[in-house]
Amino acid sequence: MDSHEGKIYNQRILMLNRYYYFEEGLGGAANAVAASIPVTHLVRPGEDGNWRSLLDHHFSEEGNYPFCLALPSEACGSIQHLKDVLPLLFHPFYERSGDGKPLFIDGPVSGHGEAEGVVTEFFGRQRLAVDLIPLQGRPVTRKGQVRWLSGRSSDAGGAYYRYCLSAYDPSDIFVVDGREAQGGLLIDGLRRSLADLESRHPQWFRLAWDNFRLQKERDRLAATCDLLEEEKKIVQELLEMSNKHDEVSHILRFYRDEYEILPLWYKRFGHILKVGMGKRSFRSLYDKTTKKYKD
Amino acid sequence: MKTFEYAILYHNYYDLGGIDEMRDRIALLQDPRVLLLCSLPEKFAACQLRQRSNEKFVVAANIGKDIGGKLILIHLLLSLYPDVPYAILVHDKRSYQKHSGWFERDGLFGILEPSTFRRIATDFEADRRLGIACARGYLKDESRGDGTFDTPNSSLLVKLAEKYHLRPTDHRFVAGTMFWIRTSLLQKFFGGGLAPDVRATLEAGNVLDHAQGTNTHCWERLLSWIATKEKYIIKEF
Repeated sequence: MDSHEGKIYNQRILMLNRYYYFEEGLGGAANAVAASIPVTHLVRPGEDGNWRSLLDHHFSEEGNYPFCLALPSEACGSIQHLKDVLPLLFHPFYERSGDGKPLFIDGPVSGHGEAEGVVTEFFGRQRLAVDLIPLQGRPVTRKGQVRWLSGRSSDAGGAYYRYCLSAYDPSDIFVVDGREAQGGLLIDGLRRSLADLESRHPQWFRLAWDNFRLQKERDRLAATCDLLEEEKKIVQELLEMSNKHDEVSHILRFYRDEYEILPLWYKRFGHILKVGMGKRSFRSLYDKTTKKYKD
Repeated sequence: MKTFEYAILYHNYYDLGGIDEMRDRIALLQDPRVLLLCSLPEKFAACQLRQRSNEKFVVAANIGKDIGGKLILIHLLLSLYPDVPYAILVHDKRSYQKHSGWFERDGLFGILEPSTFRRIATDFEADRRLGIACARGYLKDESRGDGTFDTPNSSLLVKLAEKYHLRPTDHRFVAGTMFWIRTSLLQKFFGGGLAPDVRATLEAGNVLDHAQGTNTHCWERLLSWIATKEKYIIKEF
């Protein structure tokens, strides 16, 4: 995004909810990237799946934008599939939310429970906090409701406008369905509805945006606090060990016993020997200002 | 996709200056076939380091110290670039608990000094039996000759060696876990996704083995045995 940075920040939208741009292929998400909306890739693991192209894409210069994954529920039960996509969850641009890294589960509700168990255990063992969000069949999550902005619904931007004024909940998650050609238009509609809200209801908009922004900031600071706590503990342990360590006295004893104890003539002969071996410069034998040893 | 010959698997824990230092080391090599794979702890997550054609980054929780980071990078290497012939495992070793930490670190990084780098590369090409190359003075042998080892990790090490079928006749290992290794050996052992499984067994935080053995310190030893188990040799440079 380097060369377009100015343009992208101009196109960025102020979010009142968590928005995700959902797509199956690659490269159709330019509008979402420009609007700073994380792209959710529907990843198909297995031999014929698209996970390899996703890996290649995101670990290339083109893949430096916020993203997350949606796994088909049937793929969640396979440890091998989870291993295949694991590097993507360690990607520096993988999206983070307060509850961890979002991982959507796509597919019928049957089997969700088992799939969630396998996924939670697998990523937990990697100390990866993953926020599992079902896309279908079970619309209400403990954090809010997953809502779709789809090309099939006419006037999606208007629907979002009405939602904000009647049923707004900052915990709700909006998935912009980019699988249809109208993906870019949906984002434009969302952008327009946000602009309308800001101009017609400035106080409400400001409060909603501040609320959402501060919630995100609070989550970020809480995560940072945990990491700093962990690091402080590590540094404290190192400090204590360093204090207890007798390495200096060990080295000094070694120096005294192995070298200092020798007669002076023997040590001087040793220095001449070092010159002969090319380890020490001849000049340093009589000129203390010259460099003794090679680096 | 660009063809690389050498993949540096670098775990950077302490500060981001370590990445610039690594870039400087790579620049000195004057070889465009060097790929840098770098793992970072989560404290750098907000920095969002960008993937480049010759640099790839991952961010992960601090499990198993540098060994945990290197295992993720091995998994990444085998997923993205399994055909790169040589992997070079390094990390930003500090050993703050020891006054000799920096001294050790300079020695271990000898394998990336330009002249040594070229010598190692030439030797790998010439000697098909060479499996691991490391800096001189860091090859250790703790074997007591009776199946046990002179380390607090001994009993755990024996168990893990049994579990992972790593029973070489040569029990030497590279202390400090900075060495060159043939990627084919990593592929043979970790192929199929074993690296994340092993990482999942490592301890979190600042793992030390002074009082009792740890999985993390056992893997410091077992990583070398991956080569010696296959009758490859380890050579110091």
